[in-house]
Amino acid sequence: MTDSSLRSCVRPVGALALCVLVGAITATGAAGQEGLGGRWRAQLDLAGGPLRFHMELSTRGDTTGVLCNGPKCDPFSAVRPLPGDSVLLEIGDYAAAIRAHVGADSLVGFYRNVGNRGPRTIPFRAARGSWPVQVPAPSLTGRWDAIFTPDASPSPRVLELRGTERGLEGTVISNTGDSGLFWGGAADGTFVMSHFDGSFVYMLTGELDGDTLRGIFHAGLTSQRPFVAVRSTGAAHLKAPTEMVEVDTAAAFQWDFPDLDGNLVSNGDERFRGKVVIVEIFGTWCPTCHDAAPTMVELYDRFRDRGLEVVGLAYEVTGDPAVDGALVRRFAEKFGIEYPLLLAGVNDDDSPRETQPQLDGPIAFPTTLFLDASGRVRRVHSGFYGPALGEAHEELEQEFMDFTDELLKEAGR
Amino acid sequence: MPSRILLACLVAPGLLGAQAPAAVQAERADYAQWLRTSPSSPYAAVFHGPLSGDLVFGPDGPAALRGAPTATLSRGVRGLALRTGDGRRSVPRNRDVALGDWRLRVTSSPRGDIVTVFAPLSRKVDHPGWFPYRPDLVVVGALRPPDRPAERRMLGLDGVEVSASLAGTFTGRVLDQNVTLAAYRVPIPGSEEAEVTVFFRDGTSGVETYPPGRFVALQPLGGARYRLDLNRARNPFCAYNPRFPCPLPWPGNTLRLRVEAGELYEPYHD
Repeated sequence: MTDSSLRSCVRPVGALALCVLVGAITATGAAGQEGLGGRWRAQLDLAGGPLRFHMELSTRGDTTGVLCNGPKCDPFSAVRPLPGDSVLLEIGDYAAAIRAHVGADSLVGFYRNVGNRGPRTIPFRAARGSWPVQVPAPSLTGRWDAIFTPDASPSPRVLELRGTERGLEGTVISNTGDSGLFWGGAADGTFVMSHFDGSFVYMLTGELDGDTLRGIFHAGLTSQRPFVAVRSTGAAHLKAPTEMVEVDTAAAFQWDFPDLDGNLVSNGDERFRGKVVIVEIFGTWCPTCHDAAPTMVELYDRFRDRGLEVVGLAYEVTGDPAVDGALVRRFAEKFGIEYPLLLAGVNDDDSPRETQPQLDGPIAFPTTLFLDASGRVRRVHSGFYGPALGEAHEELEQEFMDFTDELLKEAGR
Repeated sequence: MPSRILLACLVAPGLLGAQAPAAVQAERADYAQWLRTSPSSPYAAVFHGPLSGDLVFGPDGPAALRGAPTATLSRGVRGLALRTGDGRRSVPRNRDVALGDWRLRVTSSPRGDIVTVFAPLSRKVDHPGWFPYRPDLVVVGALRPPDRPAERRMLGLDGVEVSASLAGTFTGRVLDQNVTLAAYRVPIPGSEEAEVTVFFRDGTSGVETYPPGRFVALQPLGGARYRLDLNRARNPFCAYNPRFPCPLPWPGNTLRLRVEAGELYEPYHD
C-alpha cells in the first residue's frame, strides 16, 4: 500500500455529518407541491461555475427528498411548502436549507447556511431530469500528486479520480484526511467534480495540460485555491499512514475517559492491564470510521479469547454527553460492538491533540493504535482503506490481523 | 440618529440608488435578520477575549458573565470542558455551545483560544442598513500575484486573529479613478475556505461608514480577473459591538474617493 491510498475523515464543521442522519423526513401539508415529485438536476452557482448535484423528491404522502452527490444520497431533514409557490428543503443538522420558487419545471432560489460570521447564501437552480453522464478518458483517471496554492503557501494533496458508469468520481486527500466523495464528469480534457452535502460546498475543476493537471479547488461561493498535479509515481507525496503521527513510546499509552454510562475507564483498569490492546480513535460522523468498524469487530471477535482488548475513543460533534452518547450507542448497535466505547472529546482541530498528549502530529479519523502487553504503542495507523478500495482494504485487514497475532504471540498468548 | 436621517434625505431611494439584484437583496435581508435575532449575533456578545486559566460564569465570575448560569470553562488534560451543576461536557471549537439562554464559542487562533460569550438580546437591534445599491460601484479588475509569498497575522471580520497569505494586488477603475488594493486570502477557522479579501478605507470612513474600514471579498471571474462589488462591503464585528477588537487599517488600502455603497455604521450604544 502507498500512503496516497490513505482514507480517513476530515472533521465536519458546525454540525453533524449527514452520515449520521436517519430518515425523519417530514413535510407538512404538501398541497400544491405535487409537481415537485421526481428527479431534479440541481446546481449551486459558485463564482467559479456551477456545482452540480441531484435531488429526488417524492410527493407520495408527505413530501420527502434526498440530496445526491453521484451515488451518495442523504435525506433532507424536512421538505416544507411555503407561501407563494415556494418550497424549503431543510438540511437540519447543518442549520442549512435551500429555499426556492417552484415553477412548472424549475426551481430557483438560494442555498443558505449559517456560520460564525453570519448567514451565507449561494444562488440555486434546478430543472427536471438528470445531468448528462460524462465518463472521463483514461488519461485523466488514476492517482495524481497535487500541490495546492503552489505560488503562495504550497500544500500537498492527492487526487483520486475514477471513471464509473455515473461519470467521474473521486476524492481529495490531505495529510489529515479526505474531503469525502466527489462526483462529476469530464469532456475534452477538462473536468469538474463536486462534493455538496449541505454543509461543505467543494468543487474541483481542471484540465489536462500535457502530463500536468491544472485546476482550482473551490470552497464556498468565492474561495478558490489553484493547484497543479502530476501523475503519482508511487513515491510518497503525503506522509505514510504509519508515519503521520509520532508516538511517545517511553511510557504506557494512557487514557481516562467516561464510557456511555459516565463511568471513567482508563488504561490502568484490570481489564486492560498486561494485555495487548487496540485503541481506535474514531467519530460517528466519520464515514471512514464506519468503514473501519467491521474490521475492529472482527479483530476483537477473532482474538478476544487470546486476551485481546479493544477500546474506542470517540470524538463527537457537540461535547454534550447525552447527545454524543446517543450517537455512539447507535454506532455500537449498528456494528454489534461489544468492546467499550468512550467519550473522549470533540472533533475540532485541537481537541484530539490536546487529549492525546502522547501523539504528536495531525490525528486522522480513524487512527488505530496497537499496544503491546506493556501498554506501549507499537504501531499507529492513520486513516483506513475501506471496502471500496478492494485489494488495498483486504491487504490492510490482513496486516492488522497479522500484527495483532504477532503481539499476542510475543505476550505468550 | 441624525446621521441616518441626513443620509436618508441625501440618498432617498430612486434618486441615487438602483434596484439591487435579487442575490444582494436576499443577502442583506438574511444578514439583518441574523443580526437582529440570532442568539450569537455580534450585538449579543458580552465577552470576547483569550482563554487564560478558568473562565467562571455566574455570580462568582467577571461582571459581564454574572447573569449567566453557573459554570466554569477550563482547559485540562481531557481537553476544553464546561463544568455545570449537571456535570462536565467537552466544548468544541468554532461552534456555539448553549449555556441556558446564553451561548459561548471558543475559536482557535494562532495565539490560542479566544472565547466569545453571548447573552440573550435584551434590546432591539437597530442595524443601520446599507447605502442604496450602486451598479457603478461594481468593478472588474485584475489581481496581480505577489512577487514573493507573504503571510501576515491579522484580525478577521469577527475579531479573531488569523494567519492570512497575500493574494496579490487588485487594480481597477472605481468612479473613474485607478485604484490599487492589497488583497489577502483570509481563512475561515475550521473550514477549507479562504476568501480573497480586501479591507479598505475611503472618504465615507468615519462619516457614514465604520472608521477603521470595511471588508469586501473579491469574486473570482477566471484567470486573474476579479469583481470588486463595493455594495457588498461589510463591517467588522467591532462596528456592532466594542467588545470585539478591531482590525487596523491595511497600509495602502485607503481610497481617495467616497464609496457610497455597502454597509453603513451607527455608533454603538448599550
